[in-house]
Amino acid sequence: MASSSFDPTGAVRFDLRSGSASDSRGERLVLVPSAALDLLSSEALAKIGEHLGRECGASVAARLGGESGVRASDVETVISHLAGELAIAGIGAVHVERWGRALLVVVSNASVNDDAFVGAVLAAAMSAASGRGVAAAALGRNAGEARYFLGSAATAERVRGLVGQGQSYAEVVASLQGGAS
Amino acid sequence: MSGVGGGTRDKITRLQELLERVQMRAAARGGEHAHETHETHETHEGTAARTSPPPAMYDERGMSEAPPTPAYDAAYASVHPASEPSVPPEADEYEVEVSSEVVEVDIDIDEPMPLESGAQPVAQQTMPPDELIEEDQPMTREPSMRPPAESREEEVVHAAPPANEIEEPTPSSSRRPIAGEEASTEAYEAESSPRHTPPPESGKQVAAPSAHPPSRKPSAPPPSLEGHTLIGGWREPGLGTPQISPAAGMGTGVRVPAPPPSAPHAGYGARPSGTEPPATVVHGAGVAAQASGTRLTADVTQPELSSGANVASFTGAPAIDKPKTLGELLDLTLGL
Repeated sequence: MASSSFDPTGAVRFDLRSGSASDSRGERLVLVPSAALDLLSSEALAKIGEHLGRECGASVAARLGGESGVRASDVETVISHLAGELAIAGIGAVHVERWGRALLVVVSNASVNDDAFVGAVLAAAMSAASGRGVAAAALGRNAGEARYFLGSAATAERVRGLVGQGQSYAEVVASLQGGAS
Repeated sequence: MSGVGGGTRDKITRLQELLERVQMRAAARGGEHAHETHETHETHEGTAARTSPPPAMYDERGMSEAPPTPAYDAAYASVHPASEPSVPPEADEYEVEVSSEVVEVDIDIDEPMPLESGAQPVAQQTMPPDELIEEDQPMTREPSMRPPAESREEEVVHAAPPANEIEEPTPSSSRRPIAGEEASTEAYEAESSPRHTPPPESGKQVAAPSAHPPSRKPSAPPPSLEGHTLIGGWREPGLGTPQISPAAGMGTGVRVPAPPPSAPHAGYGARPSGTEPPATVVHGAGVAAQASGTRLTADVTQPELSSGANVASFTGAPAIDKPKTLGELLDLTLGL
């Protein structure tokens, strides 16, 4: 029975005798300084972030009864588990905004300030948790918070175009509502 | 009564003086007539006897002295039947004149005077002897009927009774109460206003055909109208005395006040006769006064509108998707 609240107990295990770090499922972990990731390119970061996110999503799905259990769970439960997993990974603090029909994820206090990395983490985590292909597009930063649109790959590409035109995230979201069919 | 008798005597004496003057003038004219038609005197003795005063008056008025036609003689005989017997066929022309006039005049004057108010003799005394001569004009007017003017005929019709002119002043003052009883208030006001239209009695006296021909042209009252009475006063040409209706014809010696210089014909507005152009001017002035006197005020009607009216009404609600599960939320965002 999946719990509605996130329980981080046993998420990371350190075996000092053997000198290993592992997650709850026993998978080994490497603790890497965030500044080291800044040396990587965006594409590399996107790949690292996609992998990281998929692991987080899979953990959520494990907690919530699989992909179907995740989709059947309420938004708050899923977001709580997802935000917990991303927090243990040290990505940053995550919460969700719903603008009409658009789903926005707000990341604050991110360890890596690269949109490709964070976007890849978020899209991969949501996709792994729910079993549905989700793409992410950065909407901009405001007061230490970075907003990302989660949706289809086409819509994400459209958002990137609107943001590149200089529109604010509100204008972009508004335009998305009008173009919805 | 003594005052009345005294007035009568004065009038008799004046008439006697008048007769003397007539005789003198007739004598002066007699020579001329004798030379012209000595034979016609014999054939028209009766006619000359009837018109005894007129020869003198003709001279004063400058009237024509053409001998009356037989038709006129017949008409005159019908009007004055009593005067014929008093004229002997062989009598002299001048003797006939004296006898016929003295007898009739005295009788007519004495009878109505005691019946009227005592104030009338005062009015008679104020009349100068010349006006008394004018009172005899009806007698002289009869020959003036001969011109075929229509207006003259109308005057004759209204002045048909034997012209006992001397008794006219008396009925003029005595008809005041009668007119007040019969005539309406409007008619009385119209007549009391300075219309300058003489009453019937006074019209007989003043209506000298030669002096004021019945022309329809407008004329203003003489400027010296102040204090003149309507009897023998100025008469508007074109408005003959017979035009006054008997009901409204109050033969009163009303003193006419001086007409205001701005509106001398104000009285015409009460009775438009259509014969005096000045009346049109007065009408125009009256219309202008009414137009300027009436003010046009706007009747304002303002609508009553309530400011708290619920004009707009909304039905339904916008479709707000609030997904409960993450699957629904993903469907929404992926559907964009």
